[in-house]
Amino acid sequence: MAYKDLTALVVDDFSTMRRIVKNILRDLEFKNILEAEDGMAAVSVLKAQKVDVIVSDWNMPKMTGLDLLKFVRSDDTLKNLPFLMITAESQKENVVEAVKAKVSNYIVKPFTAETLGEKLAKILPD
Amino acid sequence: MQQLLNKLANSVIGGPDDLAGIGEILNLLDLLEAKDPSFAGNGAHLEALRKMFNHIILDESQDRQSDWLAIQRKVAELCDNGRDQSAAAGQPFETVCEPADPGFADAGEGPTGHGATEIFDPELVRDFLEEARDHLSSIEMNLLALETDPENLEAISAIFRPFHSIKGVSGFLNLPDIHNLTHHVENLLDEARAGKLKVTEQVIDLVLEAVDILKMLLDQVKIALQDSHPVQACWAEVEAFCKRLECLQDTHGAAAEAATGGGSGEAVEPAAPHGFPAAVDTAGEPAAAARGEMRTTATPSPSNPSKDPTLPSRTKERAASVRIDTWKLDNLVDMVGELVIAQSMVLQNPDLQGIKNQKLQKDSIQLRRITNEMQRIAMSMRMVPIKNTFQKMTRLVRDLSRKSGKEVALAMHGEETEIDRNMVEEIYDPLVHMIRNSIDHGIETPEERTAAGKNRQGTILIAAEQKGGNIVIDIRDDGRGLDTEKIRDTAVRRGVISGDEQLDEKSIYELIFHPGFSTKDEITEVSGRGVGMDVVKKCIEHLRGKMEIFSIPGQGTQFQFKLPLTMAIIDGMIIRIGDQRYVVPTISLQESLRPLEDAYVTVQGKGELIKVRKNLMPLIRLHRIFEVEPRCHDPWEGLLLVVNEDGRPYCLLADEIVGRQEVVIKSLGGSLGHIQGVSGGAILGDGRVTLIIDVKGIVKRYKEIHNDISDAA
Repeated sequence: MAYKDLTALVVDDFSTMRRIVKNILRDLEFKNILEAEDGMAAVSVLKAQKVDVIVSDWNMPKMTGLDLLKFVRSDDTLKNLPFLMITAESQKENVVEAVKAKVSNYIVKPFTAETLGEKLAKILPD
Repeated sequence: MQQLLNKLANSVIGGPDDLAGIGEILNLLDLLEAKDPSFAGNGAHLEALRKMFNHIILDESQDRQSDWLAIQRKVAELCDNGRDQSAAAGQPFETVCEPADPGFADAGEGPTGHGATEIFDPELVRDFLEEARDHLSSIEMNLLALETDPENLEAISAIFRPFHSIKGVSGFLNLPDIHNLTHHVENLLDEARAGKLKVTEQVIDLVLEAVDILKMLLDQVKIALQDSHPVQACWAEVEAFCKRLECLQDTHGAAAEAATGGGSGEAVEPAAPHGFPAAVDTAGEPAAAARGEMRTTATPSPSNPSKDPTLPSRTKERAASVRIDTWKLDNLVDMVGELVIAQSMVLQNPDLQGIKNQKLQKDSIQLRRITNEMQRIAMSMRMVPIKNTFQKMTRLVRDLSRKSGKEVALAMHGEETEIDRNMVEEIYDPLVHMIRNSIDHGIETPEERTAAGKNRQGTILIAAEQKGGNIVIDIRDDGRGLDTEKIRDTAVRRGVISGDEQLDEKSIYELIFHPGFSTKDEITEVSGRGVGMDVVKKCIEHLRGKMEIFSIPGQGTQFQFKLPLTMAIIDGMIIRIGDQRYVVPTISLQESLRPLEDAYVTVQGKGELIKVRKNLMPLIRLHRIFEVEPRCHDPWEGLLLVVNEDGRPYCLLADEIVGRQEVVIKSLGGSLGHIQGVSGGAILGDGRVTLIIDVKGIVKRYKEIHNDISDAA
């Protein structure tokens, strides 16, 4: 399946960050990109529509990326949803925790467009 | 147990990229260990395996394939060992681990080693600046909340998060100074969050300072963006500041250790503040003034501001908002204004009004309703809550009360009141001056207050309220009140008034707004040299507002600003003089009346006066000022508009009042911009242009003419 048919959900409380990720996704030919400003907002998006991949920040108010991940994995319809966690260099220890919570992959800030592309290629079905 | 082991044995399939699979294994390992702590012989092996996994996960291994093979081997052995329940020590494990170790040595490498990407998209940077500013103000708020409750973990998190976000994005946008600074602050906060660092006043001061530096750095980026030259590096300054942060962390860390070791847990004084130029203190700058954009909230902002200041109050009220350029919005408002005028020109067209068609009439009512609604919406889009401006005062009060050694609390009321965004920026300076003044001159020292039987802590209340088409802003303190005697004496000494001039209380109060007036004997750092209060007055007048002062000796002073809600529209009385029409701002009018013939008196040297309820008011003949031929020359035939200027009433003579209307203010343009007595133009419903009268200018003009006359006499 080509990326253009997939719906991506970008979750970050910092709108500039969302834009950066969105721009990269758009360069990767994603056409449908949804946004949410924290885990809670993401949950409501997930409940309302079909999403094919989540790219989420870790550190957010209200509901963190990890909590979102746990929610996704505990939901029967969503549990196999590809989930890419964005984390900061200084918080790499988080990654192990995310992996335990079955994150599909993670990416460390700051990243390049290529890195994001590679990571997505790894977690998305061909 | 067996089941778990089987699962484990079957799980290593996906390869090093199968993070979900690895997670599964890690969870299984945890489970196994929890079930049987002696599993895998001793914890060291399990730990080694976990480390290897972490290496793979964090992409730190040098040779993924061989490491992966090693892991597979190890897991298989673990399974076998587990099955046999024999805890055979695994010599091979030790050797297996080794290839991974070099990876640890340079843990800084890995995916982060790529460096910042070169996304230098000006628009993105601009958005970042805007957002970062918002974040900074939320940081300031939460810091102040933290100060009152240093244990408040939620507040720490709420401060940590925006720093973290700014750091993340600045990394992308290639802004190393910002990145460096936020990184250090983040570290500091992280320790505070983990309870390793006690939140003291020093810590809060430092973080506040970091906010100031960040503001400065953001300003530089903004300037660089405007002039499109590279961002000026402030590496040395930032580095110096970061050193201080580290110092604080170290000393505190040491102190904490000392405390656990039984020593005294007193906080150690951090390194002396140095290295950062004082010029960086941009706290007093109207940060908002630098904004080129604004945020409009499509939904009305929620009116549930948390009353508890200790709660981290990062209200998310912008769930459904968009950012648009201000000029687009201003354009929209202008065009809607034109639409309204064009509509009334069409509908008031005599030919059209001659048509007796019910459908046309119904439709025109509908049209009018829609345009009115559009105008209302367009106007409301420019409205922003005054909250942000008010909140900036919190920091000011904190800093000033520290500097002056007085204890001052700031209370707010009606922060959700909305005001035109252009005005929001304009009222910042007056507010700052008023609050400085209140702290410096109004609020007494704690000792004086105790002696007077008051609470040690003084209170300043800032309140906003919408009243009709105006917004009323109150600044009230519970200090010593205005000293009329002292003000009078000073005014006489400074030659502002003559010694024998009789003034009522109100007029004396207003003297403090005279340029260069200050009753404070010594000049203080806080409110300076009496400059400021006249600036306040100028600002308020520029905004077409009014100011009132109330004061009770020993109990406090209240300054009240009455401002129009917007600068774009004015509520005006349309008056006629001869065949000309003019608009007088309703806010300037006190009353209108037609006097009796015997109320008109002329006094030698003072000109024409009108007696209204025992008050003598100078008569200003508008027709003379505008040089038009009026219909009525006698005041008792025409109409008098009573206005108040500089605390004194004047009567303006016009022929009649035609009506009252909200008009869209149009600037007269460069060459006509500064005509005394005229503040702008407006287009009336019939499409004709009128002038908007500036009462202050009229009075000034009158005085000039009057003086000429009396000089000539």
